[in-house]
Amino acid sequence: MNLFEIFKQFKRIEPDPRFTDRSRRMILAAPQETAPAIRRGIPSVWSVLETGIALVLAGFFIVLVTGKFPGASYLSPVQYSVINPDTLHAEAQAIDMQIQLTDLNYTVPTSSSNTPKAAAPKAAAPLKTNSVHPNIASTLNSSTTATDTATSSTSTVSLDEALQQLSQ
Amino acid sequence: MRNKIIIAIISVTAVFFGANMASAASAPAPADCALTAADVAQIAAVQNNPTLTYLEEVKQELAVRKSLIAKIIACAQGQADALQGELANAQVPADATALKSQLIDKLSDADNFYGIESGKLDQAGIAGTQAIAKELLAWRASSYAPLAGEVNNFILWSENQALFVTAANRMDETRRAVTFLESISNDSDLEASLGDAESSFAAAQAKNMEAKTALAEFLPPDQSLATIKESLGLLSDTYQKFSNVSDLIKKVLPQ
Repeated sequence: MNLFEIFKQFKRIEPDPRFTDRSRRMILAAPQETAPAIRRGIPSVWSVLETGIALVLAGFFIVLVTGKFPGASYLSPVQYSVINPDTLHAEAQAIDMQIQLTDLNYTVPTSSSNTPKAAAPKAAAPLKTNSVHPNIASTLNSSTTATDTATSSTSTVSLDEALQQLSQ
Repeated sequence: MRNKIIIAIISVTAVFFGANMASAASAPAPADCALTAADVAQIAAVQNNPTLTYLEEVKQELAVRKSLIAKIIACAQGQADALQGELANAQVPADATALKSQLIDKLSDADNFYGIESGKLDQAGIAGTQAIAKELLAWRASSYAPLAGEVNNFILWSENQALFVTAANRMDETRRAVTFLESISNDSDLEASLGDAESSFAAAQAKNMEAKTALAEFLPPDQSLATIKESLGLLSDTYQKFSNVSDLIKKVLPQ
């Protein structure tokens, strides 16, 4: 018997039918773990997809409502805003407003009001009354009329003006 | 699915618009605190009251003086607290947070000073209240007024930084647009105009940094305010230059 005949005999090798039956039964009887895992996975994957779709739709609606999205400005080589006079004007106007604020900014400390910027001109106005401390009277206008007095008695006095009067 | 979409829209919208609403939140409104001439005139009223004995007059005058000084101190503390709150809420650049903390501490010191002066009132006579008033007046002129000026300038400067960031973005966009357009049409005017805008913006930025240095070095408030104003003036000039570039771009672009 040469080597080739031996190899040919290998083709005829078969498992023991009882072993085959037993193995098949064991395999079929074993708990099948992979199939339930997949079935469990499908709803969770679907849930993630559902949330993703919901977010994308929400984003789409926001873009639809606002008409813009954050990356839009980087797509075009010549930005519309560069030649848009409205945005240019708006930005320039914001600077002008800030310049105007610098004119108001340094009136704060002397006012007794806690809204000092608005009250500054009032605080700077001289105190007019003829019914104050005698030491203060010399600084006031002695010819003030009764009407003036009635009006001025309710006029606001700055903290520093009041302190000035109380220090005498 | 439909519910999820509705919830997602509400959530995304809330996040989208929430940021803007949060930034619009302002400092708490300060309490009403106004002194009138009539308040101060109470002293004269007591002094000129002929029905009072000398002792009654002194007692009443002292009571009025103490009451007025206590009110002034409360108002002054309210001012300092309001300013401190405004400063605490101010959005400042990362490299200016140390200065912000320093100023907040100084305002706390001011608050403490008022507290100390208030404590002196209990034992003071008429002359004592006069001395406290003098002390408060002198301290407010020499310490508080410059501090309040410094804080207001710092808040103003901090607000300006957003304008400088916007201008820097515009500068970048303009530069990119000009570079792109120069690649398709050689327009020397466009390049020159961009150069003007760039140099003007560089000058504005330099002045802005100078203002920051003035604030950090606690230079007199009028000096730092003048520098801030100059920086804004230069920034305003820069926008005029941007406008020139924009006009030239419009000419180059196909209609």
